Amino acid sequence: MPYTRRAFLRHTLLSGGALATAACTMDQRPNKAAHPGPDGIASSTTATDALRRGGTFAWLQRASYGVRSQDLERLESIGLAAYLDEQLTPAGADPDLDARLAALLLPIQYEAEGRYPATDERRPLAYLGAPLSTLWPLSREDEAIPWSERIRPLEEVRAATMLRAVYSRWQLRELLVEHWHNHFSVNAENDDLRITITMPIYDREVIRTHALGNFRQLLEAVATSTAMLSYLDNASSKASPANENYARELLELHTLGAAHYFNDRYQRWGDVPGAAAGAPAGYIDADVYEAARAFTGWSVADGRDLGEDDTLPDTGEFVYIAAWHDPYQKRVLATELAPNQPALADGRAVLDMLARHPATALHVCTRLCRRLIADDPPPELVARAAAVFRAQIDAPDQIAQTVRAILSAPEALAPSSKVRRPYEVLVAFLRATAAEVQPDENLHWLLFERGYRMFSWPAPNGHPDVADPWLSTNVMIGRWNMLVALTDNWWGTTTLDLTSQTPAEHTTAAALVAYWSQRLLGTTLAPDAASAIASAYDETSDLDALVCCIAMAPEFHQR
Amino acid sequence: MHLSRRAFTIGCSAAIAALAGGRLGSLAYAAPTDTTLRDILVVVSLRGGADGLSLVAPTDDPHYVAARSASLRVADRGASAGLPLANALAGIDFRLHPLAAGLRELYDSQQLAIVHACGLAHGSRSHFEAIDLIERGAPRARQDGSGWITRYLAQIGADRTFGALATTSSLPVALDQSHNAVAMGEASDFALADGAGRTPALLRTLYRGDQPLHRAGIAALDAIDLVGRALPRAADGAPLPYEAEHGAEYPSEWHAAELSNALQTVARMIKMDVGLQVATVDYGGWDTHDAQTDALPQLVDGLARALAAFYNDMTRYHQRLTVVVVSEFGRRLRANESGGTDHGYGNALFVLGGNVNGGRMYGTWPGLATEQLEDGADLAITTEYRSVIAEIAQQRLGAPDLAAIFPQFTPTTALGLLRTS
Repeated sequence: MPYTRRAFLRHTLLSGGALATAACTMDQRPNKAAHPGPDGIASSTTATDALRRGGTFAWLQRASYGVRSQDLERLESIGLAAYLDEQLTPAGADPDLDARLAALLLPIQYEAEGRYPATDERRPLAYLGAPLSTLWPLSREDEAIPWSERIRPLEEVRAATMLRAVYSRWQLRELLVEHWHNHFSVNAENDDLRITITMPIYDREVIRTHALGNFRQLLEAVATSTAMLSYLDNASSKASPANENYARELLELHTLGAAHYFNDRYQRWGDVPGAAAGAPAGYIDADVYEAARAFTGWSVADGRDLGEDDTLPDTGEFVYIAAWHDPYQKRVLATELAPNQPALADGRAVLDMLARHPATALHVCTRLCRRLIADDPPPELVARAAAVFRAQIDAPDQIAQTVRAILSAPEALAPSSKVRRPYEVLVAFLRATAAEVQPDENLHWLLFERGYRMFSWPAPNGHPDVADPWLSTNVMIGRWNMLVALTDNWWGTTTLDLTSQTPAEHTTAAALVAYWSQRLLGTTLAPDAASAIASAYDETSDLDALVCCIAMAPEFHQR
Repeated sequence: MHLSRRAFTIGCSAAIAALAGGRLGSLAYAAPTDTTLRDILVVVSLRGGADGLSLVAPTDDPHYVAARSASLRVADRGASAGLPLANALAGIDFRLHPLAAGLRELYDSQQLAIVHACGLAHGSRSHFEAIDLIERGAPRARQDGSGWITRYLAQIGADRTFGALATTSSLPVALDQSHNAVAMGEASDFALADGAGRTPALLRTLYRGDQPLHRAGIAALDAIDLVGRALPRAADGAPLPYEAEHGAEYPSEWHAAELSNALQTVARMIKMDVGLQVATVDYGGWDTHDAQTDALPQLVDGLARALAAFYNDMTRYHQRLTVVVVSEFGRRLRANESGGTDHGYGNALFVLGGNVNGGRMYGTWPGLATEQLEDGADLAITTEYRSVIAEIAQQRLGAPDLAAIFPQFTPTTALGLLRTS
């Protein structure tokens, strides 16, 4: 993707114009005429500095994995509202990404085992679109299957996720897919192959299908997914006592949120504010226990013997085992569930209650706003988003409408100080440098060591979404070393061609630093920082290293 | 790992290098705190809520026997009987899990004490809230509060040096708002991919500023510099692999590796004498809601062997080392139908060290009859977790102001867990 100087100039100038509209409504197009362009990168400092303080550039940083000129150009040409609409209804083809997904070859290597001969090759992503019937046999423990074959579905989803983050037209969808994977986090390296091998299904049919859809539907898709049923043990939950693992995190993490946990009231449900009117403000331990009873029997068809000549099919599909269900009366959130309900009715009633509870709207919208806007999002914005979430509770695009409300708000054009997680740094660097990347597990392990564990975060709460955990010494070292690893192409995954992207007239070190700072940061570096990098370039003439150093600057580690 | 690929051929000009080098030389490392005055504290957190009723089991308590199937409790007889503990509580035959031989050895040698029915009063059955409450050491979760270890380090003036080490990718809540605690995986990976050696000076220029990101960058560079100078190296400059002392053998099986690696990093950094006062170590996987008999034996084995190896490795330091092993809550007395146990309340807590009055159990056993259980379901808490830490802080850590470490908490009478010197 050649990046012409003309295109670059255009984007800096147009975004400068957009700045003027920062506090206005999204429908207003930037006033290009108001900003006659300076005629060189170096002299555009003032306009572009301003960009970092808000405006279209900040907005696009929030709605993508990193600003590329072509995206900013499109945004400027159709306006923010239309651009947001387009991103929220990602219907169009994405031939560039499709070609990359089809062409990607992921290495696999193992010793001979069982009927599998020794293997050392690169294979396409065959499992990405595979049905459960293809994946499930990989979980069979009675067959000798090389470990690398068993975990292949997980590795393929990881590689595809990185490719999509870097190259997808539909950046906002990719951001939200990552968000929901964290909201409904499962650990695919939890020594439970049922999660590992069904990651393509969890990613494709649960998270991606509903990422911009309806939250209640997303909730049930998660609740009935092989991955979540296995991860939080509901697959083995039967009366009685039920297994409380899923119900606990369903209330605390997926829906109502810990802020609405009235822990000190334990079983005294009548003491929860609002309970007398049938509308408790939150939940207590007893609600967890009762909700767990409601989900008994929600399980996975894994071929197990249920006794009395009854054996489950071995398909990996969701199954309701009536014999495991606790049929008696329950009380969840001050609401009685009658005894002896039809199949699935108890669990669905709980999901209905949770999805419609105001605390859920608040919790879900707080997390969305934290992801898209700021670590501590303004309460008024969260409240506005939650109002949309509740008003659109049955809409098939409830989540898209909620996200629209968030990204249409003036706060979305405000300056951002959101610290990028290491994964976001990696993707943003590849985007900003128009790198050619063939992701493999090396990139995953690079991130893993520095705390970003894609699909293998060790607790059900997902990766933290505030700055502090990502500012530790370990993570800071990882930020810098990661950029060196990518620039120097340690594993043959990444190709940079920076020279051909650099306009020929930038011959001095200072001009190169200025040009690439604009590309990576949307602004210039402080003079002492810029001159330090320029001096180093004067010694080495290593353009890759120059760009790498700019990416090491703190400005690149925020979005 | 992969840190030394082709020399990273950029840094900065000689002039700027000299300038930055000058700053490097004058970095304000306070004189190492006199560590002979206070113990080094190692906090091992069993993440997920460890089943204290399997770790330190009341094997002949009839309510225990009645509530759990044979596979989910520790037996007092037979081939897989638990390891009996002298000086137990309430005349009950308390036993360690049969795979905890390493812990029994430490107990028998009077180095390990056990406090049972311990926990955070008015705590929580949510992992995340319980961890938050315990590690902030405050009565209610306060998102803006600092961690208790952060406050302790500030009191002893160890908050501007390499005072604390976390062996996790990020700092635990107990170290919240600490600006200089170091998070480190492997010591040998704690370096810049910087063949030319000039990147640190450049980064110091780039990270001039007062935003959290700037401060984090400078803190990381300081720590890299300190570790880089202290790390023992071969003639070619490569870090030497760590070698444990005293014939200690850390278990390397996958279920123990996380803990073994972390404890070896702690041992190494203590021995490098960089001013370490507190280290935190996580050992995850204890949330055994399901098939507890599959997971728990391995976890107990990993804990016992790794901890015993660490203690053996640290023999030279026993007189100024205290180790605490805690978990956010215990697990339910009665098992669920998945062959697991759900979130409970009171738990066993371990204190290990050269000045521990070990070989004894401490605390008050509340009993396991339904009316004795918390909310009719869980082991009650009779010893507040903060009492134990406060005792260690007072007797071994030289903490001048307990009230500031644990606000709104009045310690009860000391259990007598420790000798003062």
